[in-house]
Amino acid sequence: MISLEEFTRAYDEHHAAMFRFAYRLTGLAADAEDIVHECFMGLLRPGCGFDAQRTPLRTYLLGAVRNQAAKRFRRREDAAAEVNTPPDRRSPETQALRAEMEDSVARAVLGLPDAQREVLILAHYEQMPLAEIAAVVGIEVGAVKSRLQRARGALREVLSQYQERLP
Amino acid sequence: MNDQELDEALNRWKAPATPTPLRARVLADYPRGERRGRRDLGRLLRWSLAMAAVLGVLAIASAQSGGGALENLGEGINRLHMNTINWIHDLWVGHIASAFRNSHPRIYVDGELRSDAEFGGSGVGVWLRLPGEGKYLVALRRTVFEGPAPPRAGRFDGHVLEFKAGERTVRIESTGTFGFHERLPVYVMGPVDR
Repeated sequence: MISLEEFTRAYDEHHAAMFRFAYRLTGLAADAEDIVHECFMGLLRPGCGFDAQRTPLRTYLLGAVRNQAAKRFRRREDAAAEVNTPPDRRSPETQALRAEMEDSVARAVLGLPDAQREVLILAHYEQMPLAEIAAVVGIEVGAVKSRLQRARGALREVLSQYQERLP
Repeated sequence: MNDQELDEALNRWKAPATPTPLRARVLADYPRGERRGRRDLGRLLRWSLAMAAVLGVLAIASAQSGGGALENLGEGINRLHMNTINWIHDLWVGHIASAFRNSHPRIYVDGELRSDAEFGGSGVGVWLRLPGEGKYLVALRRTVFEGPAPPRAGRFDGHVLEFKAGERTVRIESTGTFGFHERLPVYVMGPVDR
């Protein structure tokens, strides 16, 4: 089994990306926290399928986050409805629209089909190479590209109305 | 909206920072994960020993009984059959209970969400610890008890585990449903410690 030192290093190196990924998949910080916890517990179990010779730890852990998020039987509408980003209070007028847009971005991303959402999050927010995304999601690089294009196309359509209203 | 504008729009959605207590929570569970592996092995050993004991008892009873050989064989097969059925049922209920526990269900006590309550267990047994009150042992099978089982205190349908703990009503609710919606009786002991 992985030593405590390795386990601690793994947490310190990867928890932030895992938490962000889980948060953007579920839309809920509490769920993201539980998912990250469960993924690290999975690393300790005897039946853990991680093989350092075959898969980088980051790829394995982000794949585990994806699986855990999929298990959480959460209806997308509920998740989107619960996203509650605090408004930016630094300036009065356009900030309201910016806050609204931030909320709209969250809703739009959470509203994407699962297959497109996970690819978009890993590509845009985690800046992962397409090959690594393909390894996390378990599909071909070509499929990653097409999902990403579809996701960005859908988001462009939804978000363009807000963009036009911003100064 | 061009690519750059879309990227800028997407960047407006910030993820919160990882909660600081999560690190301590994960690292504190390090030995627990290690123990869990030992528990799985221990459970397998216990099952093997139990089956060996059942077969041994059957063999001795068959040899010492005054009945005929066919009668002894029939009784032996019947006992083996019942033990096997119980064993399979224990495995199935244990599987459902395990999936339920791992789904991070929400815990309500008298209708109030209690995030401070701890919930765990193994096999067909689960436990609930309420801070300042103690730990309640909840069994989903009568076979858990060596002596007489306590009276039935609730039910479990794979989605909700509901029972009476003293004067309180405890409702543990998962987001998923496990098993085939069979309604299982629940037996509760406790609180056993504080």
